[in-house]
Amino acid sequence: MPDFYSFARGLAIGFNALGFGHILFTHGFACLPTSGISMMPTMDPTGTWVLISKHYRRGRDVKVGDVVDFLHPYVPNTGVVKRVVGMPGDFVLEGTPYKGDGTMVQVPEGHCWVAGDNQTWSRDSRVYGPIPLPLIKGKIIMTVWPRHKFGPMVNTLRPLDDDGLLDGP
Amino acid sequence: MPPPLSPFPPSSLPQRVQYRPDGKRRKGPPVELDRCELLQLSQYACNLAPAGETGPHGEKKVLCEELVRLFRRCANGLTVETTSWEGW
Repeated sequence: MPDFYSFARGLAIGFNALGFGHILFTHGFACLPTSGISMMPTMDPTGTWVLISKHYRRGRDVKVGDVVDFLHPYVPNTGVVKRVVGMPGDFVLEGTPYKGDGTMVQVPEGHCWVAGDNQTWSRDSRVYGPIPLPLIKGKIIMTVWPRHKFGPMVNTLRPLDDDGLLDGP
Repeated sequence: MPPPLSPFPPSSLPQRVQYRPDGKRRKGPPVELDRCELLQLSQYACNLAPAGETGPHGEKKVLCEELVRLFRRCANGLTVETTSWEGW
C-alpha cells in the first residue's frame, strides 16, 4: 500500500509542477532562443536568448517601439520577434522607409503594425499586414545571451536628436 | 484575416488623422500634425559586406545603414509615422 500512496503523491507533485510551469510560462516570464537576421543589429542572427514578459500578452500595455513576440498570422505554431511601429488607430508607412512613394495606412482596431529592425531582410507587416493583438505572446524585456548583448531591450522611439535631421525652426 | 486596408498618399495624412479606424471623426480639437511632438526610431538596412571585406579571423562582415523613421505623437496619444510626410 505505501507504494500506491507514494506513486499517487509523486503524480500529484508532477501535475502541480506542470500546472505551475504552465502558469509561469504563459502569464509570467519565459526565456527563449531566437534566430534569424530580421532583427539585426539589435539581435544576433544565431545564439540569442531573450527574456519575455507575459504581462504584455495579447498586446496589453504594448507601445510603439517595443519588441514583441507573437504567433505568425499564417504559419501555425511559429513564434516571431519584431518591433511594433503602430498600434490601433495609428498611421504607418505601408512599405519600407525611403523607398517607393511613401504610401501610408491606418492600423485597424485590435491590430498592430510590426517591422523588423533589419528592413532589408525582414518579413513583417509589409508582407502579411497588421497583426491581431491577441497573437502577441509577450514583450522582450531583456537580452540574456550572447554576453556582449546582455542587457535590457530598449524601446528605441525617442525625441528627435538635436543634430538636425530636418530643417525646422 | 485582417480587415482590408485603404492605402493613401502621404499628402492626405493631415485629413486622415482626424478620423478613427471606424471612420468616425476624432473627438476634441482637430489634430495639427506639425504641432505634435517629433520622435525618431532607428531601423537598419543590413547586408553582407562586399567580397574581400572580412573581419580579423576571415569571417564575413555585415554592414548596417541606419534608416531613421520619424513619428509625431499628438496630445490624444495618437502616434503617426511621418517619415514620408516630412519629405524624404
